[in-house]
Amino acid sequence: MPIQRQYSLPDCVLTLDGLSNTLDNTATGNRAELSVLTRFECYFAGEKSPLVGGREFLDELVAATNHCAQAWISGIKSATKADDSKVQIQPAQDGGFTLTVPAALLFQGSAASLAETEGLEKPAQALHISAVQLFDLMEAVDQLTADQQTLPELQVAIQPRSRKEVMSPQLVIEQSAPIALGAAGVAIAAAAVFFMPIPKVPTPPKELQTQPSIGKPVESPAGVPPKAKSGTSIQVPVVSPAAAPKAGTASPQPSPKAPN
Amino acid sequence: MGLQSISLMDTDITEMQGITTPVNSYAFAGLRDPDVPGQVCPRRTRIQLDWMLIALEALDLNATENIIVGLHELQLQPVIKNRVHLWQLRNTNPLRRFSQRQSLNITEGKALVVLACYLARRQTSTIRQILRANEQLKAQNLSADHHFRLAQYLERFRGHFLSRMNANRTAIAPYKSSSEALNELALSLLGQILFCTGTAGMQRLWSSLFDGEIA
Repeated sequence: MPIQRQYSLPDCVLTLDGLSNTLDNTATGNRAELSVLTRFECYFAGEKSPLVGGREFLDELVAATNHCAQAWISGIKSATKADDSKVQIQPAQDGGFTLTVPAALLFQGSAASLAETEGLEKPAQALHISAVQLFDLMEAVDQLTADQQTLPELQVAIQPRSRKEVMSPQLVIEQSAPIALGAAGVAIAAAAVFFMPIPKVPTPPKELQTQPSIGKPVESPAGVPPKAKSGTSIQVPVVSPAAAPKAGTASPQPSPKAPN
Repeated sequence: MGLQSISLMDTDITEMQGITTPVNSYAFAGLRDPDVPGQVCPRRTRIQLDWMLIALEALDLNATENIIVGLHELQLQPVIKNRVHLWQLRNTNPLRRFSQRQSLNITEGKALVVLACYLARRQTSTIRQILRANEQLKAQNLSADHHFRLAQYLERFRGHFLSRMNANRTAIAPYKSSSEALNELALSLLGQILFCTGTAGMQRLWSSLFDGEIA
């Protein structure tokens, strides 16, 4: 039994022609289920002719509409590249959208397939639609997918896109640029510092280096007490050689155990 | 003192339980919990929800009253108790002048989405009319002042936006200096709101708020 379903919005009309696989249950008050699609028509207000295709065209139009509506509401573009062999809806410069349908998906009689019959190369059908027309298309698609008596297996997955789907490779490069720049800066600075000569630290004379150990007598070779620096409060006891104990008990060199 | 603190804790727990299991779960039908860390709405979600509500307020002068009516009609009081609570939830937008340093949980986010769609559906014809007028004016290279409804919406939106957002924030600075940028934002929000008025508008808005936020 042939069935026709129409989803009509002010700016977009979707018409589905098909057949029912199930038994006629109209007698029970239910609508017959459209389970096999034979012809699909999408008409936008202001256009001369509708876009006519089959099940493949319908499936791709539903997917493209869902994808575009998601990107439009969130305001985040998708990272996936456009595939010319599929139906696409891309935002245009003037705030509208460009709907591109490959000619292979359209039936004879549509504007694009006319060129094919004339032996020309198959051009893709491109339509300029406004935001309101896109909304009507989306609403018609939503009504169609919500209708359980028309192609019940046709479903749309409305779910948020993952970070990978949204993040474009270009954006990744842009985000990693400051990190790379910082790492390169550190590397250059390290290389420059590596080639710089090590600064010479003036070594103090040995006399100043040898610190007398506190509590131990320091010998003065000439018997003259060493001049204590002005301001130092440490008084070092000076022992003359004559008063010194036997050689070997008091070493002139600082003891290794002396506290530093 | 100890008893008082225990009783307060009990109240909080019951309130929290009320939030996690709203009375009217039908209102949230079809809104799936996204897999976001901590089960709180991300920054972009909070900003977007608040800006959409500002756009709806600019569209309808009685929007604030309609929100309260909507709370009763949709039985959302267990989640959003009153006007002050609604104000607190909207102030989770980090770009607000009086931004609250608190998070918006998923249930509260859903309630705001349901409210936004409720208001948007009441204004569907006005939104279509304004967007259509904008397209026509653009085609004729005319300014927005040539259409009363459009000009009124843009003027109200600019007023609401600048009076409520923190002008010291970097994200707000471009809008502070240029009314053109603010007009574009207002029209872009209006276009997004139109898409929420449809059959699956609520699901579409909810899922779009977490675009790029899930792993």
